[in-house]
Amino acid sequence: MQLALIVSFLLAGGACLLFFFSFEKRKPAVKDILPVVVMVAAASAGRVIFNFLPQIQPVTAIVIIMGIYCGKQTGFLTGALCALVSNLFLGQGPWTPFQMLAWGLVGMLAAVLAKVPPFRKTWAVCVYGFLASFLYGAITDLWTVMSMGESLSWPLILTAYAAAIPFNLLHGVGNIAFLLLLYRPLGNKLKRIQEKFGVLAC
Amino acid sequence: MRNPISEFHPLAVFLYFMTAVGITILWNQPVFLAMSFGIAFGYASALEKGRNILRSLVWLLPVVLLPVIVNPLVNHRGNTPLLYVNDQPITMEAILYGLFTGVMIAAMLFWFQAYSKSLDSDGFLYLFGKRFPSIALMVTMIFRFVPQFHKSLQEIAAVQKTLGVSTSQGTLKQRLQAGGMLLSALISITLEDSLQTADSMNSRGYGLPGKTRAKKIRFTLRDGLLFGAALGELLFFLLLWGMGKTDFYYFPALTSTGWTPEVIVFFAVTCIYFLIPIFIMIGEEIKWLFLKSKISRLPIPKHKSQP
Repeated sequence: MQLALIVSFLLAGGACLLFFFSFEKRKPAVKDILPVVVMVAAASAGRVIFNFLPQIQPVTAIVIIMGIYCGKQTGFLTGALCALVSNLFLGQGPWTPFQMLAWGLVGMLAAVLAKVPPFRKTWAVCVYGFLASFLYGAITDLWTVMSMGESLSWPLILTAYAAAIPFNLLHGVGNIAFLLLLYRPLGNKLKRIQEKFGVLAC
Repeated sequence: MRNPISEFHPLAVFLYFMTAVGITILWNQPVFLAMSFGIAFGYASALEKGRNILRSLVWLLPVVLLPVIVNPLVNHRGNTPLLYVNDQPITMEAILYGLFTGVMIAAMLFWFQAYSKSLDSDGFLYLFGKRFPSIALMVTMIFRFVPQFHKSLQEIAAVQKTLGVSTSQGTLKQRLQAGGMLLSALISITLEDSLQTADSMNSRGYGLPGKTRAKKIRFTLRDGLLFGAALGELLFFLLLWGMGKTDFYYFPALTSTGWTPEVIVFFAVTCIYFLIPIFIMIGEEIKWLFLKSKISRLPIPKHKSQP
């Protein structure tokens, strides 16, 4: 009986759909969505380009930057869309809703933390980026864990998550590198279009 | 090989695959899982080129083997201990449960692979575009931005080259710096361009009622048949599942409710249901052979003969 898998699948997908519903309800202006489109396109292209390196991709870094500069909603939207679109290139699977939720939450949490000014310092963002890889891993590995059905138990969950640690570490190191490279330059560009065009204010 | 399923209505295709995946996840009966895996693998392979089939066999091995190894180590239920590790029994039931969990995951992944090949992004947007117009617009524009990135990057590189900034000359450090500059310019330009696009879209009446689609998608009889088949199959399964007819237990010993008549009927129906795409493929292939033989009988003057 793989009920746990179906339920977790529906929960993750449902959470993303719920967010999309609330986003559509606000009737977003074209001006507010196009910068997000550009960033998602850049991040997804980056993920496809870096696909030859395991776990190393710029998506998490860009999602965090969008969360910090453009707020909770845009952070979640960027994360969810990055997963959806890059998987259209790399292949959809049962992991898609989990990745959408995980990246969305990473972006959302970044926006919440950014409310506290010291968090906006580069080193603090890098620390968050490193830890975010574990949050992302914990959510995306859920479908692997849930597919074990009746064997689901604490030792199994611990084993699965322990096995994922090296991958999460790689992902975290990649995040730090991309954040060091992109955080300030990209942030300044986002600030500039926010001031110049009056869009995406959080 | 051509995939005839991709020419069906997106709604029918979506329901077809979700039903196949859903039943594969929920019915843990070994014979059924082997059948689902075999057909999904055959179907996904028929849509792939030769080398990609080999590649999918490479990742298939860990997917199936990992649960076989991990499961008996953490799950000690089952009546038939084979050996003891640290005073903990390794049971045959746990190994079998792990094996068929692996087969289930692999079958599900192959169904998803075939699904990805059958429903392109256009069909996907058609399905979700009505309810999520802004999200659908964003996904469409993201696709459009990828070639634009490429074009803008070439333009920027051409201009920067006249200023002596190039990624193909100089020391490694200079080249990396040049690359960084190009990317930075690219993002600035596309961000600002995108806002101009927004103005342009607004002035052309984006969001006003009466929008039409470039590609006409119609729900025809054959779409209705596929949709009906998927719905019927799903309801049939949910009925048996709800009555507990499909229950299968691995612990403490492999037990099932047996091959009752309704389970046999359902198994046969599901087998046919899973084979629908293959039937259509073969049907189209026969039709084409038939048409080809007709063409060759027509009195057309021969072109240059092939060596």
